[in-house]
Amino acid sequence: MINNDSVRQALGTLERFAPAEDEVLAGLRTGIVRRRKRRQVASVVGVAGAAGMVALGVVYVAPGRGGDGGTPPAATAGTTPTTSVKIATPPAAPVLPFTVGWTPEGYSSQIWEAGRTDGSVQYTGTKDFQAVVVWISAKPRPAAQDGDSEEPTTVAGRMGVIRRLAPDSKETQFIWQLDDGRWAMVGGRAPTVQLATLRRVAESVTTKPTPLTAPFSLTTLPDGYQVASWSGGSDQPFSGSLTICRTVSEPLAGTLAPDCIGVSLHDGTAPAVTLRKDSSLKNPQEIPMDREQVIDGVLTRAPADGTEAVAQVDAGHWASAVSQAAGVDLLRQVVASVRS
Amino acid sequence: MDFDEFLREQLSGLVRFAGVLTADTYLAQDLTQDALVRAHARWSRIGRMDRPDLYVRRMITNGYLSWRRRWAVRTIQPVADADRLSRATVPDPAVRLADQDQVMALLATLSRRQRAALVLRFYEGRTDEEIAAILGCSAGTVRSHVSRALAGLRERVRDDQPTDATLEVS
Repeated sequence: MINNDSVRQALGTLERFAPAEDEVLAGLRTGIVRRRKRRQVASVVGVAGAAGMVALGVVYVAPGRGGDGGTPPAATAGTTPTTSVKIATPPAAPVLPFTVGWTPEGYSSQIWEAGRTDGSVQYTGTKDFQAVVVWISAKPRPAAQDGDSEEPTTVAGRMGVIRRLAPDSKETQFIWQLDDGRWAMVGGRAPTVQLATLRRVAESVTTKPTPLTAPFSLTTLPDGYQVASWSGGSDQPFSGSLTICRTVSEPLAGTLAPDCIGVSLHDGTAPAVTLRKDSSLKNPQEIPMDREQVIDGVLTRAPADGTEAVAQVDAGHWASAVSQAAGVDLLRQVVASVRS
Repeated sequence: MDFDEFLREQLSGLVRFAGVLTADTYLAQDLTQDALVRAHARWSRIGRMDRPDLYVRRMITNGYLSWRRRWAVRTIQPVADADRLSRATVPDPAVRLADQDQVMALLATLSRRQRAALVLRFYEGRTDEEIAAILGCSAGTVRSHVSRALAGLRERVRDDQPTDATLEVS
């Protein structure tokens, strides 16, 4: 006989899957350090000194304003013009640098990342753990690790391997090279995703680009910057992100290069503070986002170190622009140009 | 409550919750770390909430429900083999449910939201209102999730043992 106690006891047996607390703490520290580094600025670069930047627009300072966001305010009368940067054209819309010609019935794109040559997309079904990942990169897929097994195969007439990952060999990946030399991987978890399904998805991958809908837009793109990558989908901690760089680099590295600006759109109200801690989780410091300027009628706020700027895009969304070296003035220009 | 204090009080429960929710140590660690890193960044707001523990559980649960994964990682997540349930031959469904691997298989047949509701109700002992706060739905919807999850388990067991299986779920 099965009753609530039986279910309770059965669930209790799954406690054995709880991760070790010290390992979670170690990972937490690493994650916090990584996040902190991403937001740090080696030095604040004055826009006036940045090569190629010419004052064009009008920027206003709104001294003494507090608060934590809300709807975008109008430019404050009587405020002081400060600085601006040369603005070029809006960024190009995202284009997935490949096409997946077939996905299983009921599967839909859940999350994607698109650079110029590299990109990935995850398709998920309606049931648990139905997921197929398609990953394309100019860089080879990481080599097999201890315990992985590989067997040769062909995909669309090209040599490749079927890699089954340790420890249980159920995580299955088709890995091969496309006609243009880029590496492709199609992965899923057997038997929830059948090998034949993965093969059919893999066989349908072509090098033809696929236009995507941008998760947000910028009215302008800073002079000298290009789109490095977009990400979006229904399964993000934010609505989407855009990375723009002076020197284009491909995505998936997990870091933001010093000459890049990461722009993202979030639900809710722009935060009033950003939190910084050291790697030991000690001495937390709340850094107020209290340096305000109104850019083109949009209130932007930044911390004193100038690593980030935020703005309320509309009643339900706020935008963030972060960079290690771009400078707060440029970040303000960028974040003020975000449209949901 | 500051973040370190929160960790001291809640980390043990959070990792156990994530482990039971996912039945996958690596995924549980991933989700817990990810939630805590994001919570840390917003702690000035989260720490002032009445129940930051529920909020962080909500972050873990949302991560689990959406199954967000980094592309650079080498795997997508392990999963219990749902097909094993239909191949099970243990005659007594009570014995089968008590079997750890079979529990994983049974839970894998439920939707993630139903499973989350079951874990919160029967493992964590949460009230409908607490579960509703974590899942971001109404208390009525929570009761529906739990009811349907139990009904799903019951049907699965009956499918495998149609002659004499008696399942009582209250």
